[in-house]
Amino acid sequence: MIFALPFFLGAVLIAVMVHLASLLALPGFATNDAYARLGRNAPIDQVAALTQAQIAALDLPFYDRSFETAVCKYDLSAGVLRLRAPSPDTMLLVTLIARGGNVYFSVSDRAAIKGLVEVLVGTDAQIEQIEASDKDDEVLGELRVRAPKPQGVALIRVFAPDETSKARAAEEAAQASCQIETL
Amino acid sequence: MRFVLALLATLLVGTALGLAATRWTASNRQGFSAEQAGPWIAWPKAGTSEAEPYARAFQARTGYVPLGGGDGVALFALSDSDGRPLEGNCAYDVGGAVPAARFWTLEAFSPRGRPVAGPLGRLGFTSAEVMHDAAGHFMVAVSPQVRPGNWLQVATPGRFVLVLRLYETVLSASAFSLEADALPAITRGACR
Repeated sequence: MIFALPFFLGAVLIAVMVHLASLLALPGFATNDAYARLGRNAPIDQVAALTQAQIAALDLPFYDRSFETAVCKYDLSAGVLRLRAPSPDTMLLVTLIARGGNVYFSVSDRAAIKGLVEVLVGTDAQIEQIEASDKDDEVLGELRVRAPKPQGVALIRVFAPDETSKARAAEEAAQASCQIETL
Repeated sequence: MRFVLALLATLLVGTALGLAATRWTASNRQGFSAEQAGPWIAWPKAGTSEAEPYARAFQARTGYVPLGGGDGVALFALSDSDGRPLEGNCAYDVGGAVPAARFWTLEAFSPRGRPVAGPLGRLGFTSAEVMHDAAGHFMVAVSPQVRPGNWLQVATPGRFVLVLRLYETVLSASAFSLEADALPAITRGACR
């Protein structure tokens, strides 16, 4: 028994270390996170509207089906992403998800200016480059967001409070646009 | 020789246990820093850049998209107001007050997050379509059999989870406090 004790304690210590290390590393190796699922058949740097059947097939757990959804899978290696979504009749949520699954930014239509939510997404270096060329007296019409990783997906969701508003909400979500702008 | 074998076994067992723990928590636990009030549990920081490693691992493994910090709060109920797990063969009354929010939705899911709607096809209720009484309170009947009023049919033999999402609510990720009185109660009725 005395012989086994150090090995037992050693195994527990190793288990704790392996658990913490693998937990922190997991998002980096994720192949079935929200980015992977939403971007699986999505074109890159373009908005793609998803039907309720397509959303169901993605099998996103606890997904709120009261929304109509469009996605924009992006890659910032060629430039910054400009995302525009018009304010709908109900409520708009724009959610930015980095590769690995982390939600790093979200905004609703409350942030719209003249009926349009406009978000400029870039890496740290890209946003710094843009800010360096800003004029002091310029009024910004866009929200600038620093992405933690160059790859990600933008989720554009329009609330459909009842059955009759679903078609309209789907149209409104599909009106969003996203494009890469080279610096 | 015996020492080397024991050392190898220690390494193997430790690594296997560590990986198994990661696999289990990432599949089953949304995080540990939860807020609870009555039957409702929330992880208000899950959709922010301050999300804890357990929340990030859960999202990476399951594909769960949490509500962004400013968008609102998702409240999960795994049990009724008396602490008994929600069972698909029982009838429940969910009702009372709801914190001020622009919109809210109430939906039923399996413990893994799949919809458990019945053949009627309704996946949940939204604040815009639910019937309220004169005091502004609502009551949704969650049960396998048809009920009058707001009826959410649940078709699952096992346990289920209710998710109440408050969009643009007075509760926020940074100043989060829940009180059971301000949230709907979940009262169990008859079970088959």
